[in-house]
Amino acid sequence: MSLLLPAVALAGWPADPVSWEVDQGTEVVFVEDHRVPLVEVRVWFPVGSWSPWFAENGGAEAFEIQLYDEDSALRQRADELAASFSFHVDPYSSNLAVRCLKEDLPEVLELLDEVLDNTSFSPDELKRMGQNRKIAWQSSNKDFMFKLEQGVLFSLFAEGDVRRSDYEEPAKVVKDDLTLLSTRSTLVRMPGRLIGFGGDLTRDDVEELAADLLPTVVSPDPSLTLEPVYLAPNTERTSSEVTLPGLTQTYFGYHREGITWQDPSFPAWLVADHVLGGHFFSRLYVALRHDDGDTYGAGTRGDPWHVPLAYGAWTFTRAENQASTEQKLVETVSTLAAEGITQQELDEAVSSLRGEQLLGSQSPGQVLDRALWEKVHDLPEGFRSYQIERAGELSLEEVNAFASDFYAPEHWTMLRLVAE
Amino acid sequence: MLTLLFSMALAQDEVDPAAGEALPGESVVEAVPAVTAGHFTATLANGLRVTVLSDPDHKVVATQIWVAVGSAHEAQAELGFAHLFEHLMFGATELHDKEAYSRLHTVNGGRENAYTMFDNTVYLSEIAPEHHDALLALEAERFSKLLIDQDNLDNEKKIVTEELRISTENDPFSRVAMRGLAALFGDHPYAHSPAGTKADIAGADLDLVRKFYDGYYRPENLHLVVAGPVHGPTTLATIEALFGGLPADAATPPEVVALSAWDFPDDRIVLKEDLPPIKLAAQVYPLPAPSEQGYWASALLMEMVVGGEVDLFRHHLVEEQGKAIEALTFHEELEAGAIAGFASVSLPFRSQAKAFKLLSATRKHLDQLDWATEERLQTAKRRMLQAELEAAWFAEDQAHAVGIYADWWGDESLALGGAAEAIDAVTLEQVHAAWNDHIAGAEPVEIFIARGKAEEAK
Repeated sequence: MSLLLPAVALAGWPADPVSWEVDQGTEVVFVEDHRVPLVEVRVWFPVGSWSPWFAENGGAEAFEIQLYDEDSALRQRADELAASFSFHVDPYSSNLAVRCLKEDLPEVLELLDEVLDNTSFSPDELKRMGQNRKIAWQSSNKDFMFKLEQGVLFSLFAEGDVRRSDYEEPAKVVKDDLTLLSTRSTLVRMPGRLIGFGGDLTRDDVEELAADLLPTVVSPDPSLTLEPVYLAPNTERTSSEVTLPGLTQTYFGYHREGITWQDPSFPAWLVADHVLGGHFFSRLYVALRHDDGDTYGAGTRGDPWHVPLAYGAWTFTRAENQASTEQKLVETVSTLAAEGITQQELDEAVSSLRGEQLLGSQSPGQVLDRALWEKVHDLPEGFRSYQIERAGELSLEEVNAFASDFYAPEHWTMLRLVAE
Repeated sequence: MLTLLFSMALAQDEVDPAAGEALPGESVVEAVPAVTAGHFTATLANGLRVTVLSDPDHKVVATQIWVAVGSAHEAQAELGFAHLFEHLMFGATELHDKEAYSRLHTVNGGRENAYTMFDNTVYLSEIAPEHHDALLALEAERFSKLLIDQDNLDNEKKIVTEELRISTENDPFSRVAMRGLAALFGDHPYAHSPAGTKADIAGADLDLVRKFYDGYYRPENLHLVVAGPVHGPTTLATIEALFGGLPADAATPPEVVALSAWDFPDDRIVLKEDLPPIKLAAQVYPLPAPSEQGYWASALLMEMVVGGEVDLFRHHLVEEQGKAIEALTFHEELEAGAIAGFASVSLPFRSQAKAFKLLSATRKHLDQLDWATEERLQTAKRRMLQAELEAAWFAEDQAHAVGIYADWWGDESLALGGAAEAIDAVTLEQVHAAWNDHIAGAEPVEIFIARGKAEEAK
């Protein structure tokens, strides 16, 4: 579905994305850009870490181990072609990215095919993956930002809700070859696959290259639990503290549930969020940094999603300054609810949001990733631009009606991270 | 081949082959105007160097002001000032309040920032072309009419102190990195972090800060770089009109001793920190500075060893020998020299002596140079070329390339294809020599980091 017009007239390279179907289950997105002889390739599979089936069957390790065969031949071949491969697992997708010189592309795609067909995963690398996962978890537990985010998510969402999963102790790495191969085989054949090409190619080139790039689509067994499990959020929320030894600052996460993409208030949220914490002279920055030097940073976190995630206003300050800073943080959010924003703030927020799109449209990779992201989340093409244009049509009263409810103190809870 | 690919990518750019040098006291514009793309340079009468890369394919204009002063140039009484000053530069001027500069960016969807390094302080802007003249006017103003008062200084000192707490004091990995830096460099100016310390910032008073601004923030120490969809000659004229009146007479930043001439510690550096249960053993080698002979060969050497999907150091130590759970390599380039480090990450049972013995064994394995083949050299060159080519996608990256090549190498034509030529010209013999001179034939500085209380450090 394409119901949108671009908000900004974009001239030159990169071109706007174009897309077409390769088969019933595979779509191609292409972003043309002939400035330099480089090519970006993406293959996105529509299941990620929040899928129960994926998590229980070693989906992350099955996806990320693919370049590691037992004799390192695949990586050596990548080096011979000066190509860089990266594998990344998101909550909703498993994404492979490759960059190379245009002249190497045919051989790089042959290699990509071999990588997706690799059946000899390195057992030593799987073992190291397990050790590294454990060390990363131990490191995270010494990281103040991780602890703050963990505290916020645990406050909002019940045990068993997938929205907590990135902040819970990770499961052991699955090392059984048969399980990993079966999981990978199912994953790469699922319908909903996206192939992306960006850079110094023509559509004719891409049509030819994409035609046979992936194995035939096979619908997964309907008994597989692919969809994430979301539970009802916690209803009893009270101000709370988590601790970490040795801290010299207090970190604040004043939070509530965020909004969804489908929420009709999304455009109003874009404006209100920008005014509260979206720039260097936002209300939070002025109140907490520029006026009194309480902090180095302040802002808001938590973009919309399929379901509400955490949304919060955050900052930090020296431990002895905790009480007054917390009061200012809460007052800044509450004032937004009580008094709303001004017409000037509304106009400037829309102007800013429109202008920012230029920065995100400079390279073929940026444009390609945004288009793929919209598709993998079933959002219409140009979704954010469309919402920004809708924000430009809002009256001040409409924005303030949203702000008076969304930022009202009764919806918000304070989480403090303090020294143990 | 590399050069051919690069010249294809930059085919629209025209560099004036007859460009001359400015005479003292004379403004000389060295440019070949082009209808579309072009490279324009000027040195204003007051010493300000200006580069404009006019490129109609960009959507935004990147403007960067490279100040040739970083933390390595700070005197003992000025430690942390370069960073503190980076903050103060976002303050009020004689004509505008402190919000004006950021407001221009925010309202128009642009982006503003700055960072302080050992060798430079860099001010960054990205904004739509129709707002570029307004940006230049504000830049000229803050580099000549900045208000520095006690209230502003006191507030920024508090802000920077909070930054230091969050970026180093409360992060065990940063804490140990800062202590490692100090131990590695000793009395060299690179020993203290560009961020400064809380004590440094507390000691900053108004007179010292004003002296720093009046001495260093002068046109001779600045390089103004613009990249984006702007008309080159018009932009140069605008810059001359706005910046031409800035008073000259800058203080010259002190020389930073080249790392190739520095006497690094002989004794192993041992640090303890509140880390996960791992041990890290590292061997560190100085490499040539950008301006020194052998720089490109050593850069390619590092790319060949650790730059690809198969990191040769990791491959031997971790994958083939199984003697560490992970390997880390770092290659930090600074104006006065580069640092290459090879480190193993082991579980707690591994002794310090054994960890270094294993590191040395891997180094000796690599000393055989059987990996240093013509094929591997060519693929390393092609990876480095890709990195150079990627700059064409972002105005900010192009401006950065001009700024750093001009300041560190003294040759901004490297950003216009010259680097690709320099990379292409490196031979396998030069890479062999680089390994033998800087790695195999050198005594590394050894650093060992283990879990423990920081005060137990030896």
